[in-house]
Amino acid sequence: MKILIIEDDSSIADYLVKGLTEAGHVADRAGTGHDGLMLASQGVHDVLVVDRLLPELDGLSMVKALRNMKIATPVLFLTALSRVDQRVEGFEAGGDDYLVKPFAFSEFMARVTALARRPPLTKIEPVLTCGSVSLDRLKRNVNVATHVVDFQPREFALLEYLLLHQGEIVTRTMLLEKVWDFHFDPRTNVVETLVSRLRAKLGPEGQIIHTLRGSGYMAKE
Amino acid sequence: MRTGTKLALLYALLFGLSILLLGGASLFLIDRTLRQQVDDRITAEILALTEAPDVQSADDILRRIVARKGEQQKLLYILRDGNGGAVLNDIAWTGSTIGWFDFGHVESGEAEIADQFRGFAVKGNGYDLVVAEDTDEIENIRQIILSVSVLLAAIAAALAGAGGTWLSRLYLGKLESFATQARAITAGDFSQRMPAVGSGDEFHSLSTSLNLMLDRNHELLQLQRRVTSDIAHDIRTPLTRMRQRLDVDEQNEATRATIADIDELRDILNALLRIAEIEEGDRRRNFKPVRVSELATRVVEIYAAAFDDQDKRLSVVTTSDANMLGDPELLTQMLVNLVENALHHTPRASHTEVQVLDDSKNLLLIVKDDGPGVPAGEEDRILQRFYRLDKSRTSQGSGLGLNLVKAIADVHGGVLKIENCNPGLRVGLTLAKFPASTA
Repeated sequence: MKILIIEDDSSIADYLVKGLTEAGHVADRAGTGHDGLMLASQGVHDVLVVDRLLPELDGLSMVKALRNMKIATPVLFLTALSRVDQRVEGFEAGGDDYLVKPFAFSEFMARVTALARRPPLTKIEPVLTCGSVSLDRLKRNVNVATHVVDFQPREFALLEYLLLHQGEIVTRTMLLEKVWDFHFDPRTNVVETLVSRLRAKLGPEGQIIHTLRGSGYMAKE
Repeated sequence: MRTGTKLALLYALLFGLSILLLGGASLFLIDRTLRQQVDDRITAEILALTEAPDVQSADDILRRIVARKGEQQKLLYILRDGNGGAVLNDIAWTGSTIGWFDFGHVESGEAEIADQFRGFAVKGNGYDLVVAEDTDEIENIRQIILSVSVLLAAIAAALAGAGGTWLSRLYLGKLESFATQARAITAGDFSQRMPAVGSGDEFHSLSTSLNLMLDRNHELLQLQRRVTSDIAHDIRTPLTRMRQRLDVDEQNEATRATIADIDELRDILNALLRIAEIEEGDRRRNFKPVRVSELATRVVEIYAAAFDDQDKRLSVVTTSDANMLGDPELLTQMLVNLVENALHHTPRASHTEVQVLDDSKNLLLIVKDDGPGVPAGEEDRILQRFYRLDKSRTSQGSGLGLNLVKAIADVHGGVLKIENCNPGLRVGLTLAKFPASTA
């Protein structure tokens, strides 16, 4: 993957570039909004990581300008601003995801990966499979081997999200946002509780859901 | 009754009564003056007819009456001679009073004509004399004054009522426009200002002062937003760098503990910023109708498993499908905090119940457990920032959970009530239904 980091704090930028490089990706960086816009407008990157507060041209305006140029590269906003209206502004400007500082690198990496592999809107797979588990998104049922297993709606949504991102790390926060619609961090680990229920219902096939200590979960055969 | 109508009625009543009072006073004075004049004329005539030394008989009087007839055309006479024989008989009075008398006489003819007289009777040497005057005219004048007064009073009342209505519309309309704007501003639209009404009058001055106050409030709000944004940025950025330096070496015990501390700092900061954000109040702009029973069912569905894992039970009872006006995200977070509070502060085998009830006007959201409750007298303190039941402060959580609940309840105009039920704690939140019930 080729990722552009637009961040004025050099320590944070250095660290992200280093981490991405170590993971085998190519990372470019820009320290101002203008430089970022210039590099991003080439349209060669898989994901743009944009800080909200940038010198010269702020992150929001930069992304708006980019979208006006018809460049659709996914944007992950990286920000210290967590107000709800600020988050909404980010999406309205054309951002695709929003990560509030401070964050773990694994969280950052999972979100960048999810954005880069985002399937095109036109392509919708009705049946998702992993091992002998198959989930039918239209009939809203799940088959494990030959049995139909009964799932609660939220269990279904969780499995669906994991299977949509097969082979990718999905963090707890991502799941809270996408499956629970919680934009805050509850004290109770409701994700962990539901994942264990899901595993139990899948029986031996529960092993397709892997826990990655400190990072999140991954569906994989 | 609306203030405008009240004022108009009051004006009408005051003006009408004033005119009636004025009419009454005129009536009294004019009546008295006219009657006095009648009495004066009669007295003068009696004196003129009887006081001369050469008056010896009814004939003498008659001569004088005839001589004076040209001057006193209005006066009427009864004159009898010493034997009671009628010499003059202008009116049909048969009384025997001496001195002043009033006499009413009904003449029967084609139409009945009522006649009122005022007279004075004297008994002289060889004659009986009565001098009288028809007072019907005074009665007529009285009637005219009375009718004119009543008519004027009615017209004045009508005019005052109309004028009052117009004036109150004019002024109360201005006040109402202030109230409308104030409601819009309270609802979170801080860009609204009071309308520029009047020019140089008290309304103009009021509008200008209120707008200055609103400008100042707006500046303060902006300042607070900037300060919280700056705090958010200036604390989160170094926290990010700290965390990144530690990320490389997650196997180390000390590193892991430090990361956990940083995450705790982050959580406290998030909660504080969230409370500040809610307290700024303009989140009300995002309000929409929320079905509280659905929200409660959803939160209970999410948390039932977590309770189950700890051998506790969580259930929901909803007897109301009413909506309220609110922010679904904030309301969810509020209920989650209350439910988590019950989860973390009740022993094994405890039961927590979420209830959604309503009466004609309000919705009631209740979270009730059968755990140990809180020490007596501490019910209200647990809503304070950083309050924790165990003083050692070792328990999990930022101590901001219930403070956030309070902030969210406040922004929704809700009334939060915490009660010890012995056993258990009952947190009740009263919220206004939407749309407001007319029942």
